[in-house]
Amino acid sequence: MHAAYAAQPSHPSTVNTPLEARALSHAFSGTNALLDINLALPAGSVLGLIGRNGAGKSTLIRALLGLLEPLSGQARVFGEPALQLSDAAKARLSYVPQQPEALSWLSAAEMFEFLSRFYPRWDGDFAKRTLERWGIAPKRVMAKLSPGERQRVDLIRALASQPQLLVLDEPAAALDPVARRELLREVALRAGEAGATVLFSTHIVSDLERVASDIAFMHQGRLLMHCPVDDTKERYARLWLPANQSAAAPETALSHRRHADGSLSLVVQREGDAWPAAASLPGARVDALGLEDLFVEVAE
Amino acid sequence: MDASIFTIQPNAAEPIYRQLLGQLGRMIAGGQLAPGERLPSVREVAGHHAINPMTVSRAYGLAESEGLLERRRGVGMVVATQAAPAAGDQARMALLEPAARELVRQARELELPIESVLKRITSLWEG
Amino acid sequence: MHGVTWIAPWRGTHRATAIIGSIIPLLCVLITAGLAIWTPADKRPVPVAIIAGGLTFLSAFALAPAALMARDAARLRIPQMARSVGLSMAALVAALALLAALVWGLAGADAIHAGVGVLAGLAIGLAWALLPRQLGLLFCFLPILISSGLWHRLTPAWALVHPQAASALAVMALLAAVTAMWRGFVHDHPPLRRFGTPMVENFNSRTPGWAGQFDNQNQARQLRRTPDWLRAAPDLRRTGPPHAERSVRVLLGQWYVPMRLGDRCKQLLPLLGSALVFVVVMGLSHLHEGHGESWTYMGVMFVVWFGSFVPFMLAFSVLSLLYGRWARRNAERSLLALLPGMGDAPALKRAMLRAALRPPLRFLVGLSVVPVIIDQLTASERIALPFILTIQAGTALALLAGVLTIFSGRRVGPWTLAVMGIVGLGLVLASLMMPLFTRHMTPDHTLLGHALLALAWAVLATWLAVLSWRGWKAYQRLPHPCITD
Repeated sequence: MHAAYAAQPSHPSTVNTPLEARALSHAFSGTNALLDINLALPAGSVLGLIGRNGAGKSTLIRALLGLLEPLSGQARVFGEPALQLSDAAKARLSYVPQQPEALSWLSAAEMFEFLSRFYPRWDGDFAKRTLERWGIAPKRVMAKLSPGERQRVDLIRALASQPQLLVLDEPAAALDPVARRELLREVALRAGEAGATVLFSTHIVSDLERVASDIAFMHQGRLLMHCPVDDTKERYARLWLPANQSAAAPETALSHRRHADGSLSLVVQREGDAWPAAASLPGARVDALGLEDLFVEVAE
Repeated sequence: MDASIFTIQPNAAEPIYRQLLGQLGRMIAGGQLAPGERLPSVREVAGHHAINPMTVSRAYGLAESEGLLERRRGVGMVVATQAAPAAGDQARMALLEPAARELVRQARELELPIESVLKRITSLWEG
Repeated sequence: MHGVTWIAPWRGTHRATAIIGSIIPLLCVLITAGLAIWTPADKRPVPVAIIAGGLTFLSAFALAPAALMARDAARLRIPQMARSVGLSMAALVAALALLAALVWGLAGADAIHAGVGVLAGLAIGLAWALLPRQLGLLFCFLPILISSGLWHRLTPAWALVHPQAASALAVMALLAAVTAMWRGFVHDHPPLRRFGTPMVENFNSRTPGWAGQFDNQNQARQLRRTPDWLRAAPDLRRTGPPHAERSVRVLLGQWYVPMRLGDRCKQLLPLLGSALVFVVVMGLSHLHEGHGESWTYMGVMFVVWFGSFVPFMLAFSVLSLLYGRWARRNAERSLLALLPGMGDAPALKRAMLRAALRPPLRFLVGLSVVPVIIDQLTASERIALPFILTIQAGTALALLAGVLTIFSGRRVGPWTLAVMGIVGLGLVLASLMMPLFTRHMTPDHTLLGHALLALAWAVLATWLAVLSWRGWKAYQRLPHPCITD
């Protein structure tokens, strides 16, 4: 049955797709925030959403979870319309916003006690252990914690409910490198073993390269590319053409950048197994790109 | 063997699964991993390096299909007992691959003809 | 030469706050002008007092927020700017005083008296805004203190002989104190800060009026400053899926959080403390008076307090709290939207309304009992229960309209907020004063006064009802109640 759905990539299964956007568009006071976004996360995948500040990552995440009403299009969570989620769907979902600040008048222990009543699969043991390991005082009012500690508490909160869909908006922004590594480890293992689906946005590319199975580039409200991380590195490269060859630039290039001396830098895509014909012109050069370079080339 | 035998550079242009595969090949060819030796589990590698377990599985799977590793029931992945000599050659050649690519790239930048480059390599080889 | 840049002082505040701070003095100017035409020359001091009173609002709400701007500039080490703001303020204050002196002088009245009075009003407003919040609260009792006899007994004898010189001296001292407070605030000198944050912190540009107190930053600061032993812990019993309403209250925070009695008392301690000061001051001043009526008078003051200002402040603080809560996207609203076990959207909408409205309404009903009891005990003819009950009904309606407007995400412009605040406060004051005014009026005038007041209330009530209805319709249209734009 799943195979039958998998055979139709243009109409992804809603049953087996924890998170999906169909032609999602949104605007804030006249400026476009999201432009016709189509996206589907298969179960068990870890999608890293990357983009510059203001590219629309947070807006996309909020629209995907039904926290805002898009101008057009639809978001679906576990096959349900995101704007009318059932309790069952909510119980399988965790979301950590950017700079979490909820319930600052409770202590971490109180918040966990409160929330544990709502989530049927709450792992109180995990919450307690992890708080201890991350050195956070469980009885301290959360307003008295540092931003990094607040974020860690919220991440523990999100993980303790054992979600099947974990959505993290810039989870690493306020974490130190050690805590960040621990978070990535947790995310990686949850995805691998519990089969959880993860969506996280970031602009720290190395995080994404470690744990993401897929990557989506967002730029000015559009989804520029969406493919497996390993493919991205192997499929895209930078083609440099000297000034006298720049007329031969392939039409399909993802980004064009002309340098002061008339030479041209392009991001090109492998066609089948070969680079575009222009790559074999005299003087042309193809450089492999890390994701960060690719991101900078495309987003600039 | 624990998961620290691998070194991951997430921001390199080479995908992580290729890094793992290359390191496996070199370690087996260089004798750091003896035939029959157990490899760290996918979970151990993924957990230690905070990388996606599917990436590790992919690398192990490819290594298995290349005959570098074999799956042993109840133990997990081990280094293949009869690593074919051809495979061994291939694996050692893989060690040179990055250096060779870099050499070619620099030669192209200097616009040197391939013949003179090969001649220089041969003369170095015969030393 | 270093040029001093003129900086408009009201830039540091939310527009609604600045509008309130400007409309009230304008109204006062109009009233003064009206009185000046109809009062005989020997009664001119009254208009000066009215103008000065209006200007306290100007300086507290529209001028003092410039201190925030100056402090930010000082913290960011922007050269000259903090000084420019300070000098602009000083120039404005001086200009207003000179203008008043000029106008009064041209009208043939006492120019110095007018200038000093205006300076005093402005200085009192600034001092109120820049003093720590707890001390600032005492300022609100100042009119009562002055009207009671206590003030006169504390004034030294020579000052009564030379009132002009004494008041000029007092104003100079006050201005010096305000300048010192300003500098202390702008440059983050610690001594005053230890007592608490100044009132002006609430008048930031993000949130209107006192709502700044519920601004995320301020609230976090308050929570951080509360020592652990004084912390009011929540009572989490009977929360969870079957108790949607109580669970929402945990998420609404502050007064809404369910608590055991002891913790609730801890939470109310600062408020109870200032109420206690009020009672002590009142008691002292009236025990000295020694006439038999004083207990009745205290009863009246209590009724006034519980019947009007407490409901007004209750509605204000509840709505400010919710407004602040709803202005934050990454906080409780997201959590509540995705919290399982709260039922479908219509059920959650109902639970949220009940959670937001029931506690304050219950409190209001409780409050309206107090005046009734006191009325019975003191049997005072001056207590006009109907007026007080009108105020409470108006408060309840304002709460309903406010909650529905906030929850439905409808935008209310700064002018609407400002006008609503002023009209509301004006009506509360008018309803309180009405029984005092009408005592000396003919029955005809009394009837006219009552009719006008009733008409004003009816207009406000209709407006609030329209707001409620629109809010209700918009709330019903939302796909779920925690949606953001």
